[in-house]
Parts: sequence; structure tokens; C-alpha cells
Amino acid sequence: MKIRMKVMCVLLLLLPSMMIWSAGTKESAAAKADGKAEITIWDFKYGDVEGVQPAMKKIDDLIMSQNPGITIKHVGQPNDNYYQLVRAAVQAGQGPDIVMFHGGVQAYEFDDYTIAMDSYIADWRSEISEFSWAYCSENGDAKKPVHMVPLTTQGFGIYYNKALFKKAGLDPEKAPSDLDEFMAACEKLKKAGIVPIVAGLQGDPYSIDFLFRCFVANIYGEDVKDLGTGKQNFAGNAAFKRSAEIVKELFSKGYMDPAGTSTPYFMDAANNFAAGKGAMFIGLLSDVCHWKVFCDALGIDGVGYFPTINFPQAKYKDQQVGQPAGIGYSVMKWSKNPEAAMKVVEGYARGEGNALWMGMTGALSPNKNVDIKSLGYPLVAKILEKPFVLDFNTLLLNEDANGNFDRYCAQAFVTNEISIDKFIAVCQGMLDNVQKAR
Amino acid sequence: MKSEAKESYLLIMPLMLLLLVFILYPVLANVYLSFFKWKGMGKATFIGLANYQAMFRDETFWVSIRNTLVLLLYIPMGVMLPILISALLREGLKGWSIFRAIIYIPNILGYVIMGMISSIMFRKLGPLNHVLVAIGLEGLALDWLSIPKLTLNTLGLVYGVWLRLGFGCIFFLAAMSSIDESLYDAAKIDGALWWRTFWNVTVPSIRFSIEFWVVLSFIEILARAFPFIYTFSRGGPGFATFTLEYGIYNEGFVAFNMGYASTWASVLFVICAVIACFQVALMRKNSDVQ
Repeated sequence: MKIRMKVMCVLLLLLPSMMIWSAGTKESAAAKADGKAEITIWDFKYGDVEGVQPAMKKIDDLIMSQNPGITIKHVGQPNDNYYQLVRAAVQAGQGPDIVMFHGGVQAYEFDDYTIAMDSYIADWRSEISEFSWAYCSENGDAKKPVHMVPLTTQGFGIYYNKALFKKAGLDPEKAPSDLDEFMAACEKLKKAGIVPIVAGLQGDPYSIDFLFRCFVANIYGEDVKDLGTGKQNFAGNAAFKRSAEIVKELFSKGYMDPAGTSTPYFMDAANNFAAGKGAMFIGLLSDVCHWKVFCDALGIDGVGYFPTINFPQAKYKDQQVGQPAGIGYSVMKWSKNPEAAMKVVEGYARGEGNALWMGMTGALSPNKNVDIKSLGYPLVAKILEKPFVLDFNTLLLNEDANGNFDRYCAQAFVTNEISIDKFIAVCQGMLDNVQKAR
Repeated sequence: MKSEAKESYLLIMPLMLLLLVFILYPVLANVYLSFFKWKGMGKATFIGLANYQAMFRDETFWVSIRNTLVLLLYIPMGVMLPILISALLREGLKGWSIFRAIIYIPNILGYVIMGMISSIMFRKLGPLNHVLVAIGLEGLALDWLSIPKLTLNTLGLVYGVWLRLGFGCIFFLAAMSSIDESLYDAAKIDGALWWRTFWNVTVPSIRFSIEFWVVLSFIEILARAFPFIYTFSRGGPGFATFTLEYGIYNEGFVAFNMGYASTWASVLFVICAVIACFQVALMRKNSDVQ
């Protein structure tokens, strides 16, 4: 009996010690004794081993060779639960020196935990437009300190396959300039047995979501910011209603790929367009689904682009929708080496590192010094000729921007569960949520 | 206290500690958190019952309740089908071992992989529709993942019935192996046909196993369906397969409204607790009757 009791006592003592052991060891981010600094980066792009990771590895090597005192430890975190991991690090008060964020509300939530960068970027601030810096400032307020260095400018637009346009009897060098021309082109393509618009609608119907962002740019233009303040609304706006009707028409006339409902946008739909399985694609100006991928697949001169569809009810024309900072790097307040961390961030945002970033990934850099012509893709220069109008989605609350809007699009246009009026009402609800949150 | 009793408490203490830390504390912390506004980091703000008021006004919450209830309707089929198959197999079937291996595959693969496979299988241009067209059943080749009611019912059928069919068969076969053969002999002598023997001998003899399976089915649908739904349909199209459990994930880990997500989780906890209490009471009553 005594032996059993002793065994039990030992086991009970072992339990807490095992729990303490399982908590792991504290990762040290401090400067090494020899004066060298190890900078840890967390990001959700590094896991893309074929696309982004090779570029980042090259840039890391470049930065380390330019800054012999710095060692970079780049950690690719899973995309799906990335912000949970960053939040856990914040709660623990320790973690990486540099964290990648999406621009906008997802970064603003961390403003209290990231350093103000103004003094570090002062010397090269002019290389990036104030449009981007303002977006990367605390809570998006240009008067407040900058908390993130933008790595990409993102946007949305419509790519088309010139060869298929030609096959359908359309002029491949002339993109549809208004709704009538667009619809006529779709009809010709359909009659020629070509899918007019390659769509990715399974799960999140991004093809519709992105098309709306293009439409909204034309409806509100520079006034789009007022959607966040209540001066502009979706409800009661005839052009917004018309844009929803146009999307309906694209479905009812069979211009959207009938197989789109069982095609995920990422990457199936994009791959379908790159494989020539349809004439047009509502694509991205980002590090995926973009000009470089399509030009590489269909030929440098085989891809055309137009930013939006002009329609009479919209107040503006040819507006190009964009996000001033798609992704960017912030330095966490707990970093023991903020100077070294900022050197790393700078290495990504300007100079040779930035040129590598854009050239290898196809992401659009916000840095004005990047030599676009040297990339060898005339299309990207054409895209960047036009200025960007703020994407309305960046004004929304996190849950509406990254989930609910897509569900409303699915209900209104894929499953036809809700009417256009109801769609407008729920979209207006997203704007009301912004007001309530303020 | 007798030394034997002391020893008993000492023996169960590690398990009790684990239960306290990993079950009781999270449940209580969740209820506590439901009275706060918290973004998953930083300071939480006490807001009283505001989360509950918002939840009852939230259309999505009621949609998720409705969808969850629809999925629960698949439990009877999910219970009866494996029992029937097991009853047939109990009498011996040629090639049973191969069949058993095939229907058990979903249990080996797990929910995430099965969700992915199912989402591919049920695509409009997926293998299922190809087979249906090939055998001349074009009318049944539907757009399974784009029609809301169809998607929800497909989810119910795949997740609630088919996915656990293999495990159910093995579970009930094991239960049936303990039935006294003399009962079947007596039924045969009395001239009972297969169906009557099934209802009057097989089913009553495995009552406890059936009750356990029912409890398990409720838990599976209420609190363990998330990984399958996430990979199968992501709660869509629209909100078509958006369940209470999916809503907790969405509010907690997409919107990072942790306090609000805790409110939803508290409701799910209450529903699970009520069902569990009801079922335990039923099992006790049946046990007393026996």
C-alpha cells in the first residue's frame, strides 16, 4: 500500500512539472552577445514555395549581404489562422520582430503593438506615394504616425485573351469601352463558342466580389471615402442598383462561365483563364492572378486589360480600383532590435530588393523608383498609367470585408436567394456597421 | 476518511485536474467572456448583456440555428442505416471483409480530407455528375453545391449518414455479437420473419448501444462538424450551411469578436447540455425498466 501511495505522489508531482516543461522555452529575440542581431519575420506569403518564397529568400540574402550584422529568420505561417497566431503572440507579449499584415483594418487593429516608423522612413519616404503612406498610418489617418511599410499596391481589373477576341471577330487591340460594347463582345464570344467570362464562384464568389469593386470605383470615384462616413450610401443610389442589375444580366444571358459555380477562384479559375478556357477574367493586381502569370501563359502581347466597365448611370468613367497597401511589414514594439528590423523592412520596400520583389512575384510595388520597363511586360506599364481609386472594401469592418460581402454576393447572384433590393439593403447594412463602430 | 477512500480520491485526482483545467475552466471562462467586448488581444471591456441582445437580433444566428436543426433531422437515418446493414451482415455475406474495409475508409481519412473529397465529388462538373450522366440519370446530375437547400441536405446526408456508416456498422456488429443466439432460434421456432426478428429481438437487445450512438450523433453534428463544413462548403453558398458551430468560428477567428463568439458558444453549450441531460435521463429510465 505504501509503495502505491509513493508512486501516486511521484506521479502527482510529475504532472505540474510536465505541464511547465510542455509550455516550451522562451524564444529569445535579443541581440546576440557578439553584436549581431537576429531578426525574425512572420508572414503568410512565405508558404508559397513556388511563387513568393524564392523571391523572399533572394531578398533576405541580399539584405544580409548588405547588412553583415543582421541575420534574418523568415517564418512562413499558415494563411488560414495567421491572425490568430499574431494575436497569441501579442497576448504573450513576445514573438517575431517583423510581422506581415494586410493593409487596412487588419493592420489597424495592431497599431498599439507596432512601432511608429516615421523617423526611420524619413530619408526615403518620398519614394512611396502619400496615398500609400496615409493608408499605412495609424487607423488610416494621414495625420498620425506610419505603422506599416507597404510592399504592394493591390487592385482589380479585367484581363482579356486577345487571341480569343480575334477568334470571335472582335478587335483584340480595343478593349470594350462601355457597357454596350462589353455586352456585345460577350454575345459575340458566346456565339463563337467561347466562354465570355471565366468565373470562380465556388465557396467565395470572388469573381462577383471583384467586379463590384470595379463598378463601385466608377460609381463613387474619389467620393468613395464618403461611404465610410455616411455622406455616400449604397441605398438610394441608382447607379449601385444598376451595377447589381448588370451582374444579374451577365448570369441570365449566360456570359458568366456556367461551370463557375463549381470552380474556386483561387487558383482554378485563374488557371482556366491562363489556359485559354475563356475570354475575360476579373483578376487581380496582386502577387497572384495577375498580369505576369497571364502574360507568361498567353504571351506578352496576348493579354489585354481594362480597369472597369463604364455604364451610363455611373458618375465616373475608367476608374481603376486599388488598395494603397495590399500587404506590408510592421515592426513589433517588443522587438529588441527595431533599427535592424527597420533595415530589413527597408530592404524589401526599396532599391534592389524591391525590384526583385516585383520582378519575381509580379506584385505591384508602391515604390515609384522601380523601373517598370525593365520588367519586360508592357501591360504592367499600361496598368500603372492610371491612378487608383480607393477600394470601398477597405472601409468596411473586418467581418464584412472578409466574409459577409462574399456571402451576400453568393445569395444575390449565385443562389438567387435574395432580391437585388435585399442585396442593396444588406450592403447598406455593412456601411451602417462602420458608422456604429465609430 | 478511510485510507481506501483517500487512495481512490488520489487516483482520480490527475484526471479531475485535467478536467478542471481543460473542460470546466474553458466553459466558465467562455460564459464570463460572453459579457465582454474583446478582440482576442488587449483589454476586454465589460458590456453586460449587450452581446446576447445583439445575438438575438442577428439574422445570421437564427439562420445558423435553422441549419443546425435541419442537420439534426438526419440523425434517425444515421442511426437506422448502420443498424440495418449490420443486421444483414450479422447473418454473413460474401465479400464482407472487402465491403467493411471500403465503408470504413471515411473514418480513416478524417473530416478535413473527406470534406475536400466531397466538395470535389459534388461539383457541377465533378465525378458524381459524370457517373449519373453516364448511367443515363441526367436529371439527377444537379448543381449540388450552388443550390442552398440541396447543399444543406447533401451535407446532412454525407456528414450525418454516409461518413460514419462504416464505423456505425462495425460498432453495431460488435453490439449484435453479444446477443444470445437462442433468442433468434426461439424467434425462428415461433415463425417470426426477418423484419419481426429485427424489431423484436435485435433492436431491443442493442438498445444501450443505440442510445449511445444517438448521443454521439448529436455531439458530432452540434459540436464536431466544423472541419468538414469548412472544407466542404465554407458555410455557403451564402449562409446555406452556416451552422451554430461555424458561426462561432466565424465570429471568433474571422471577425475576432471573441466576446460575441463566446455568446454563441454559450448557446451551443446550453443546447448540448439540455440534450445530454435528456438523453442521460432516458438511458437511466430504460436501465431502471430493465
